[in-house]
Amino acid sequence: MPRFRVSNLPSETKRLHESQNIWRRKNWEKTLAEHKDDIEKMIQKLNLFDIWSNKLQNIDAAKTLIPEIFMDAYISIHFASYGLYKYANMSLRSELETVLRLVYFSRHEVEFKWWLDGDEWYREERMPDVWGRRYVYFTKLKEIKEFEKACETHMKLFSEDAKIVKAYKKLSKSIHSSAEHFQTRPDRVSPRYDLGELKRWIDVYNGIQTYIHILLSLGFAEEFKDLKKGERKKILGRGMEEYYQERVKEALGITE
Amino acid sequence: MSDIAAIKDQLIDEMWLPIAREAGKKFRPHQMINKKMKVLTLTNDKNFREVIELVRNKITKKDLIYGWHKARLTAYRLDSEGKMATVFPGMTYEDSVETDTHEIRKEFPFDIINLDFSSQNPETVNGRIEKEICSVEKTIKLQVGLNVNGMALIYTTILDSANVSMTKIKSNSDGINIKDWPGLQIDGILTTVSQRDDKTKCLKNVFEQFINKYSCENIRTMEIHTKNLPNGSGSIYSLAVILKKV
Repeated sequence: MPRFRVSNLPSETKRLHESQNIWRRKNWEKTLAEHKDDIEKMIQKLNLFDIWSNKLQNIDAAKTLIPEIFMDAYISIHFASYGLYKYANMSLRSELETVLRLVYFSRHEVEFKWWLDGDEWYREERMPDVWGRRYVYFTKLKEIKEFEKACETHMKLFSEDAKIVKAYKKLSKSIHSSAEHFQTRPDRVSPRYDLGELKRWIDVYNGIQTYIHILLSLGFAEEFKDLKKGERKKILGRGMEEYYQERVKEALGITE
Repeated sequence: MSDIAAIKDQLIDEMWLPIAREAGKKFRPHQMINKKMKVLTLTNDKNFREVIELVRNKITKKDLIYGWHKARLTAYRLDSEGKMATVFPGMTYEDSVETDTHEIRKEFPFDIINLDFSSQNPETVNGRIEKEICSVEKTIKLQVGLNVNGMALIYTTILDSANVSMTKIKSNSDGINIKDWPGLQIDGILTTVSQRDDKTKCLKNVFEQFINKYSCENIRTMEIHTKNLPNGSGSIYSLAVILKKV
């Protein structure tokens, strides 16, 4: 295998390597120096996926999809810290889509196998994703229905214009490059640390993680109720804000 | 170097490596350049010196080493070192052996299994050691079921203030039926063990019975009970055996 040596690179590749090295290091170090506490909290949320992968180990879809859900969140932190906010958002959208698929596939094993084989049957019916149009499928699930009932209108996740719907739209907008989300500007040709963009991404990241742990708790209600008390407490406490902790407990009849 | 690193170094130098070397000589006598033993090791990103030493001592090659850490973030950090074939993340080893479908099943059998539970940030709760021991038995059963000739098995745990229930260890073990096996004998030993020295005796006794239960011959046993951990959370006990299928 050829050894990597900068001096062996052709001229344009060498330039690519040098500029990438510099902007990556500058953005990474600035982000970590100024936002280490935020980043630390965000990383700690990732540990919650260990509880889920342990508990859902007998569910094929979970075994395949939880590592991917974890990795999307993990990589999103990397992208944001490199100043690549568009791609950081792209990873978050992928994370959200994958968790929605997980809830769906855990109840649709045949479709999961089709999907693993690359079959996109839902596209033939002009469905945007495996679960169908919008989020109707999820609102039919008993636990989610109970949860939505328990939430005030502006805190609901799935109804028209509710939290997940809005978050998904926001992420899509940043991915499909509405001008305000361009990563290049007349005064910025290379990716650069941007306090405003980073703060917006942190908010979105935290929101998405909350929705994900709510979805997993409701989508795998029996498994969630069967967790050790300490683990359940961690998911509720670290994974979601207080308002939703109470609504999840209410929807699932948890009294502790 | 921290005390905990010094303790692991002691285990590696005085027990794990000698056991691995001996198993290599025993089971791969004709492989002179590298023993190419397949290894599973529960380890972490702070100290994985056993991996480096096993490769350096030509007991194995990096492509034959499979790491394990229950925390996904730690496993990724470990994997980023590129010292092993892969690192299995995101689940306790004890829980993984409860299922037939975990990816690690495809990798069994191993020649050296280093079940160092002390590397996994264990919680100090009642029932921890009982669960670890149950997973040790399931590991032996799995290995034997795959017709291995022999293996080196190392079990390492933290002995803390939590009691160990021999009754629970017995009921877990007796739940795994083996023809003509009368069940784990715990007569004459404490049913709840609180003293650390008693715990080491009981654990060794259970290991010896497992070896009989699965019709194996014990070629070699080594054990180390270390000094107290620096944070006062207990001590480390490591027990290693080389087993040969009879």
